[in-house]
Amino acid sequence: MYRIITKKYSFEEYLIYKILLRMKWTGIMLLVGMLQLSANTNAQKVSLSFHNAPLEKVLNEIKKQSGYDYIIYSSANLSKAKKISIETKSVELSSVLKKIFKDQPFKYSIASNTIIVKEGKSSREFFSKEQEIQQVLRGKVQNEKGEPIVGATVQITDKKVDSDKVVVYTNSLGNFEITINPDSEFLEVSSVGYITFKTKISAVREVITLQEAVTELEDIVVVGYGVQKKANLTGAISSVDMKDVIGNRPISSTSQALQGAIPGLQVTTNSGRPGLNSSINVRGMTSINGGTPLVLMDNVPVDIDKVNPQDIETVTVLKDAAASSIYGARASFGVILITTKKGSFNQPTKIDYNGNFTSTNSYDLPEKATPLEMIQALKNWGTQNYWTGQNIDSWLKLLQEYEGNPSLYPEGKTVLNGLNYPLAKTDVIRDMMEPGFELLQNLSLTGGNANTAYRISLGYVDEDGILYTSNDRYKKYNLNASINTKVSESFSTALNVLYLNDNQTTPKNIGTLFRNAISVGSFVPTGTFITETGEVLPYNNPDNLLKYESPRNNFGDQLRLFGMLKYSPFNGFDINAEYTFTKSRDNDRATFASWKYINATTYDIATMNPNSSYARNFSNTDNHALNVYASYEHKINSRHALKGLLGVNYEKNSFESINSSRNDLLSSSVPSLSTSTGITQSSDSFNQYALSGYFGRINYAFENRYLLELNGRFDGSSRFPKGRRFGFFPSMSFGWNISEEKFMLPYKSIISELKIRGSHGEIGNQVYGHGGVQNYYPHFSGLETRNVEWIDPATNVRFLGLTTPSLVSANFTWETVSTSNLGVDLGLWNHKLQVNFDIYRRKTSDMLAEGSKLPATLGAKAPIQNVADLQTDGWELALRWKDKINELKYSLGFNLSDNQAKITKFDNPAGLLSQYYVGQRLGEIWGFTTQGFFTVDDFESGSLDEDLMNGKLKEGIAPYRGTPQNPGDIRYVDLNGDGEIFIGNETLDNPGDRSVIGNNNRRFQYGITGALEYKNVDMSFFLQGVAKRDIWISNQLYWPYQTNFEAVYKHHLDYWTPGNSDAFYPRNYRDATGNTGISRHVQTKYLSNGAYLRVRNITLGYTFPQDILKGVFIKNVRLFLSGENLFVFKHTPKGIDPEINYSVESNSGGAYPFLRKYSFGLNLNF
Amino acid sequence: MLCVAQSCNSKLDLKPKDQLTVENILESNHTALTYTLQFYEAFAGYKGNEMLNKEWDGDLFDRGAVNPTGESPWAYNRVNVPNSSDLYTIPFQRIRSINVLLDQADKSSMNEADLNHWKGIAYFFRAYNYFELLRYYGDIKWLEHTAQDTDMEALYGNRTPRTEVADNILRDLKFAVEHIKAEGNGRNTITPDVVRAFISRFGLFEGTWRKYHKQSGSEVFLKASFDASSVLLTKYPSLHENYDELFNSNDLAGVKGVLLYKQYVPTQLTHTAATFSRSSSGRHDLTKKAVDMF
Repeated sequence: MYRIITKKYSFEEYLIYKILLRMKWTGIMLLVGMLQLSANTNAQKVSLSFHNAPLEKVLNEIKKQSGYDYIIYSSANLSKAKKISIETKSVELSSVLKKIFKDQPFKYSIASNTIIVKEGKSSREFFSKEQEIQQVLRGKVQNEKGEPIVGATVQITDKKVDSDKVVVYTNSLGNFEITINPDSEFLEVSSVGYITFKTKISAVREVITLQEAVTELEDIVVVGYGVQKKANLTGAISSVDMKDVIGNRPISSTSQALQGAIPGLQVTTNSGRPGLNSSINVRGMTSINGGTPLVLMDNVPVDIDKVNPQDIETVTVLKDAAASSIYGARASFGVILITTKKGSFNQPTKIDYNGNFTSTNSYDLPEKATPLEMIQALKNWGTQNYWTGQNIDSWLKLLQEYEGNPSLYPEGKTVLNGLNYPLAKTDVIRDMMEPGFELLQNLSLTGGNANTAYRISLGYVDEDGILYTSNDRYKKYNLNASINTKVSESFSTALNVLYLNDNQTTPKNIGTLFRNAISVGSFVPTGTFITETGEVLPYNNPDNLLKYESPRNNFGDQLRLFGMLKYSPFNGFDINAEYTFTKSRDNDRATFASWKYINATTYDIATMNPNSSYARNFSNTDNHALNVYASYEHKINSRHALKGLLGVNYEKNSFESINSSRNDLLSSSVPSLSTSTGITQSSDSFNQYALSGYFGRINYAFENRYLLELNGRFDGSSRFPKGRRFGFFPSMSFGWNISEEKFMLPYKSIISELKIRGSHGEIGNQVYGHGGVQNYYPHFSGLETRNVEWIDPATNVRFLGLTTPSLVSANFTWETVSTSNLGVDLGLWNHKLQVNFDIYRRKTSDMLAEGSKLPATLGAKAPIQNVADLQTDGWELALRWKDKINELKYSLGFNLSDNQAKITKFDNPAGLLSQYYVGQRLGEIWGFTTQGFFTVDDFESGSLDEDLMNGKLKEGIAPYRGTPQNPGDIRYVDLNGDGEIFIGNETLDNPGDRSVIGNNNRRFQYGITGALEYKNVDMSFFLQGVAKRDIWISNQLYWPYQTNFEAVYKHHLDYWTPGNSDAFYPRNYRDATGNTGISRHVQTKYLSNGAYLRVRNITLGYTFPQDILKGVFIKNVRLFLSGENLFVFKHTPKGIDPEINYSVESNSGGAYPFLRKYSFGLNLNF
Repeated sequence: MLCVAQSCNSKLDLKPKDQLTVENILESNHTALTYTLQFYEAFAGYKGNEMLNKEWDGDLFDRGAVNPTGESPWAYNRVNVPNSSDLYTIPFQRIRSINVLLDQADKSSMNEADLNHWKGIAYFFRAYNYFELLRYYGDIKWLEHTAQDTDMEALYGNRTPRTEVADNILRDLKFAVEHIKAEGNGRNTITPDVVRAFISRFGLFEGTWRKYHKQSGSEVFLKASFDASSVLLTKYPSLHENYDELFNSNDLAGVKGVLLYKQYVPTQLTHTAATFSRSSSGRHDLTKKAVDMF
């Protein structure tokens, strides 16, 4: 690799040689990828020790130490050289060379990592102008801290307007060398994140210090099929740097990292289970038929949680139609653009390692009442016998005895009249959990030379959840490799390979598991039971189910290949062709082995999975996407700037699955289809869709003051029949940069940016389905197979029959989503304070719904028609303050958003509350207004018996219809004054005594971020919350003893009794009979406040000072501590999290809790 | 590279790979059988509430869980007239399935005997479903072909008079009895004898209805019933000796005099009639009147 070129080259020959060499290099690099590049860790200081050594030997040593590529002796006979004696230690190369060439018959120069030696007199003027060899300008670029800036662009601008620019980049020490000629006039130095420095060459000093850009205004933001300067944006677009959002947080899911980060982007996660995906929404209610934002990477859809968040550079959310319409029909409810990290040109090789070691635990678990408290409560409610037969009085007596002296019943239970009476307090909820451990590791290698840039990264995630055993686990491997190459000045290519492999094991019937855990009393026995025959059987408690049931295993992988060719025939004109192929495979494996257990409540012996079986599912999805687009940028003098884009898109997606299962496993240790002997059931399914679109965009800017953007897309979808397949979706937006106006110039120091934006656009919503079910062929009416309710006498199995084709309406078409947006961007005090505000209205028109009901003689469900309208109004605010006080750098961010949706058209003439109706606010909760408890005084004196029952209400006090009320029952307000409480006929005209008492939409969602950096210490925090939300929680955690199969919780004990008439909960009756249900109708008193504030993350970091690392090959070491979900401020009872959607895993109230995580980690850079 | 609109449009023509279309129904005996199997679901058996519903409305049967006082909702005027009822909508859904097949008959390339067999099966089930509707509603819209959502006459036209409906039912059944193959489609499927048993029941109902409502044409139905019954009586001279076993057996295969029965198999096809009887789930029981009758 180190070679001295002794052949005498002319300078011209040398240049040709270099170019040839470069090209060869490029070829090699294309072949072997990234590993070819050697670490370009040039040390620009050299240490020499020579005595009377030949010049060639000394230069060789210099080359070795400096990492210079070549030393060229042009027409120089080195034998003429004088012997050299030199002794230096870590001295700048330039001064060493000066010393060496002093008194030599040669002159030398340095250009592009090459030392050129020529015959001639040593001189400070390296090359004379007569030889037409340019002068070399050297310098160093650093930041305000004095740290070198690597990869900064340095260019010379000529006096001649149209001449080619000379561009070089700084090396790993921040040094650059650039050749200048007599025409050169200006030097410009720029780097991302810094203010561009421009000066006359004559004024250049050796060290150029770049000022950090406080604003990102000069930054470019990724928009549909291109980029746009932040200052020139006209649509409602929010963009975040992933490193600001995720930092070192111990989370592996991209969507969860984005929660609270972007105003208007709502991320909801249903539980804390490892590997669980989140749902994403942009700007609230979409359509009554559902609708999600489109997530794209390289202009092609991607599953956001299949991308390693550490591979993501930025996430851009296109919120209004003007910004998203270029993506057509699927973009009606917002677009999320993911840009992955890539290598840059002229960067030294960099290796980064991030590791998180995280301990996880549950918090805020529900707490059950003790056995004594629970049985006492049951007695108070009038229970005589527990549902499994135990006498409550006897049980209570035993428990009191046991409480006083546990040694009376050392086994914690006793048998009375043949019935088991468990006495000891157990906790099956905590038994099923143990601390979890998570490991997150990321390693990346980045770099690039002048023509090729690369990045390769590996990610590894291993999350062992908090459930007992390791059957609750998620593992993920990510590989991401990208390479960009400039083949020639006008031609470049890029290749990106993403591979993901994940494996999730989930305990079977996880919902049942949690329901079981929360519904049994705190007295259920745990562990094992020895039967009369001496058999040891496990109780069917959750911890045993986790131990004995084999888990369900989901595993799969995804390969995504991206190839791009870019051709730029002339300045400003680019043609891009991008092809993406994605192959995803999903597997599912479940074993249902038979095993015996004893029921912990009834003490019956039973068998789990009496018919053992094994199930295996496999599916494959192939997605092909082609995007070809051309863009052209043109400036007409300095006032008009025009940009145009035109392109086509074609995408095809095919899905295929095979599902198979077989009964009667021979052995549960070798479960497979082949080792089972029973009936095999198998099926397959196929789905396909294709899209094709033509899109275009025009941007026009007048003096950067008036901005205009027009977008359009002509989009076609295979989901529609021929003739209705294509739709055209236009949008327009404008911006006015007020701060660029002349009259604003005097205030520039205060108001650095003021822009008003407005937009309007219409996008057709491609209907994905109705009622949440994907429909790939809504225009096709096919016959599917199903098991009919008729037995085949030959096999004793249900016949497989065909279904009747459904009725397809000939006249349904796209839903239309139109968004109008008005926004203001304001930057104050040189962008120290940045404010963005957007207000919008989104109308979803012609939503598909079952239109006017057709007579039943049709014999089929009325076909859906475009009959309903919806309107969402909302706003978003983002504030950011960024400043520094001496060495203390700090920033504070705040975002807040709100939206509300209402139905503006729906065919419900009767005003049924069970359906949508015009004027309905989505999420509204209808209920009674609570007046309080019925008191003894509400009854005619003497009419109540000794149990405070069977009383006669005083005149004018309204009971619930047909209900003999008792003291302690809930008394509702008789809103309609008809003397009784009732739900009316559940219509708008007659809602009885109910009214809208709340709304379960998340209102005023906010995120607060902060970061501090002082010398080597840094700290960041992230809070997220919802300021207003009502939730009606009706599960066994909230309500005491909804049925006799449930447990009583600590917080349930505050129930009404004659002695506790100030209680929270109303009077309970035996086994939840009597008026129990009447008191628990949806009402104001028990409507929970779903607002919360969560301290999502606090991270503390320490970066080792540079001088400690001197001489070590590690460039940077940072240690950090990070805590996730540290605190939550909420209003719901213990054990109920307002963020968990209890209906997902089971609507019992049991769900996998969110995890609190403590993480230690380190970042290493080499 | 840039595909023109036309070719892109054809790239968007995608059809499901795992679904047949209506053209396939009468492609072969196999497809026809598979399609017609769903017609058998018209026989409710003990499933869900369909059979029991009819009993609750009488006064021999009580649902303790729903009606703890045992008061008949009819007697106490607590019955709401529903906006829609499965008794009306479900037979029409089945009739649509049947008409979809019949509408394909002209396009089928099957041989005539096979085709007529399938038409016969369809006619039998159409008659069966119309008989259900006829009993509840009398006049009822007769649909000879599949109704479309744009077919105003089918959707909003007047009901067909019951006499015409009954005539159509008999016409359909006569075709069925003549063209359904003697062995049907194997064990426990529709055979001409099953059709005869149904004609016997329907003819008696309609014949007596007309007779006692003093309407003409009762003899036609009574004679049809008589003729059908005669054939059956000769073919099946003896019946099963234990009446109770006809309702309480695990399997009715091979039981004397049983032409068609709904079979239940654990894990395959079950019913909940027993679960709801005298248990906390439904507290179904006989009324005192029913007990007194025994």
